[in-house]
Amino acid sequence: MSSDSSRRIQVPEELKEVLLQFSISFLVEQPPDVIDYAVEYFTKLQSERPSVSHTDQSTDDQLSVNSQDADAEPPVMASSRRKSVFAEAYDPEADDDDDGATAVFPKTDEQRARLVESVKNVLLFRSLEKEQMNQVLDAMFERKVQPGDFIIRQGDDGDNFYVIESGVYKVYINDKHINTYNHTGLFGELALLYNMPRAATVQAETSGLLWAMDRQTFRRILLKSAFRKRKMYEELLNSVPMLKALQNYERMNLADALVSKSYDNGERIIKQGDAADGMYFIEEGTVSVRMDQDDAEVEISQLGKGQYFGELALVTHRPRAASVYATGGVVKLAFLDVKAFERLLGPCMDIMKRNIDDYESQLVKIFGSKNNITDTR
Amino acid sequence: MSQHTSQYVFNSKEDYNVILDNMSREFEERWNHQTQSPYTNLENYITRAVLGNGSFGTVMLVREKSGKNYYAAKMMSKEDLVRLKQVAHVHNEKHVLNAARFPFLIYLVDSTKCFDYLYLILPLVNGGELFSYHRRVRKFNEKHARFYAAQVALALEYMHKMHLMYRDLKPENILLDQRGYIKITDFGFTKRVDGRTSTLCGTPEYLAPEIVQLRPYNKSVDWWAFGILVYEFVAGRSPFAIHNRDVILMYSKICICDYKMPSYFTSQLRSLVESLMQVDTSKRLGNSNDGSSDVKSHPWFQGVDWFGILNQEVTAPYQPTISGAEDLSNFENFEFKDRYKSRINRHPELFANF
Repeated sequence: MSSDSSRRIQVPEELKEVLLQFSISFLVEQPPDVIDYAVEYFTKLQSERPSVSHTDQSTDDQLSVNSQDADAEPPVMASSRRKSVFAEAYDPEADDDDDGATAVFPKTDEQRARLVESVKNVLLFRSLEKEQMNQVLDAMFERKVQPGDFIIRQGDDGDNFYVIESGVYKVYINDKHINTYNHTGLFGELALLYNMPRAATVQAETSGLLWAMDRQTFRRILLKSAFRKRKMYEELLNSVPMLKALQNYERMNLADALVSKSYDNGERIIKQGDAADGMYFIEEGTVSVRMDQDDAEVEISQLGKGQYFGELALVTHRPRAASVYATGGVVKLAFLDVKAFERLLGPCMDIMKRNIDDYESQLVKIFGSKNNITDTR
Repeated sequence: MSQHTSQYVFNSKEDYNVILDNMSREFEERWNHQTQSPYTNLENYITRAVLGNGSFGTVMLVREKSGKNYYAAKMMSKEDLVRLKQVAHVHNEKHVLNAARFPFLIYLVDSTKCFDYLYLILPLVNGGELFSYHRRVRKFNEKHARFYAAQVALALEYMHKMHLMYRDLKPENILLDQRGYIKITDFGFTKRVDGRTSTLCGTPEYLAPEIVQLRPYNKSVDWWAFGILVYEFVAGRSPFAIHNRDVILMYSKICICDYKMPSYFTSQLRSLVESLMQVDTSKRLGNSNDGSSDVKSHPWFQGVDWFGILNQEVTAPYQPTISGAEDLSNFENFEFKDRYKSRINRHPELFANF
């Protein structure tokens, strides 16, 4: 090999990563023969290559099971019993602190931006809503370290997740050095889910700064906000006369099926004449209900927070009777898909269809005639 | 000692929903009539062997001193339960074992405690774990899998009717009796709840996406796990198992339901697994008010004699060989662990109602 530095072979990042993962696995499992283990490891790695989940149009655009067959894949048999895992119990309903306030640790805009960038691909952060993400970032606390400090030790209980702000950190498994973090990286993600003995030791080589998040705070933020949202959704569903007859379990299932949607000022939410695909609840903001009259759209009503529109779509499937637009800023809606509604309520649908005529006649009494029913039912 | 018979007869001419309603009333009575365990240690029993080791303790083979009956005694360290914050779970477990009565569920015979340990005395089911048998044969054919799956479905239906979420379904928690029928065991994570709960618990490969994502969840997590179980029965491995033990990668796959379906699965089995393993709970089979009926009426279960299964009249595809109560050939060898003995009662207030 030439000693000319310009002709040195570049080691691809992918190769580094694969060899690092293999080394970790080898050191954890401590097999008797390195070659045999390597053959087994890389054969299985090849068969487990992430395969792209295709979108199956027939199932409402949900990511479906991978279509490739698993026959060629060597079975991953659990030869030893699989242990159960568990986290501390937390009941958001019993948590008296209604605002769910957690301590806020100040961060500069740059630090905050770096944190967002660092955690964007972390599994547990991916599904966070904006408000939750802000609360989590606020609650991440600072940990200053000196050279030689142990951040985590292999085998110890794990409660914190760490994001590196600065510093160099070495990772050891069974006292063997297997990786180095250089002013960037994160570790301990599993600790946000449950207490598991740490799989590795991380030691600071230089002084540095870490941002940490503990499991209890993380779970409290997520569950408290989820609980508040569920409560709001259940109350919204409760406000619809047509859904009054539902059992508690059914109402809770519908609350699970509600999907948050945001619309900018002036954006059309539904169009008169379109097929009805579900109903909407207004979480925040106001909407304008408009009908086509003599080649022009005329506003016939405005609806605000806590109100709803389109509920007859769930049962009658008639085309939309009016158009609805977001007004006065961003509008947050909760959408209940008609297909989800039918799937969850199944046998109840017949009863609801029988009640629908009575419901419509009640509306006529209120509005004077069918033509005056001023929403998009 | 509250001896309970495990003999049930289900009349196929009766509406099964009516039977379940009656069972629900009986369950409610037992649930509301819980008694405290005496501080009698295991003085009424002779310890014969260790059957297994769990997260919080040891299961031992014991024999009654006053009779010839054999039992399994689950011994749990109070110190460990407190340290691992599992006090509420162990109370739940005792409550459930005391109240539940169903052919395919283990039940409570007796319970005692001492200064250091809690003891649950359970019927001896000495055909071994379904897990061990499954690992031995590697894969079940679909008929074989259906026999076990039907029993699990009936057990989940019963539990859900009693407003119980099981939350730890896996082959390791299913025992085989001498006739080859199942008994679901380990109710440590079972919780009585009408609606939603949010505690993360279960076994990583079997966790539903909503549990992994720390969202409130309902009984449909058991139907997700049931899908994993059926898949594992026939494929010989669980759908999300990962060779290099990267648990986070496995959870990522669970959250988008990224797994491979073996081509040898019949179309009905494929359909069942896909319907159960739905990330969107509104699409998940079993998640309607009458969810268990939807599962039982799935085409893969067509032809199952549900009353025949309930009454254990269908011949099991495998019957463990058991020569006697002390025949432990169906269990792995476990060592006795030293038991410590304190002079002071540990955490008496926390376990007063056990």
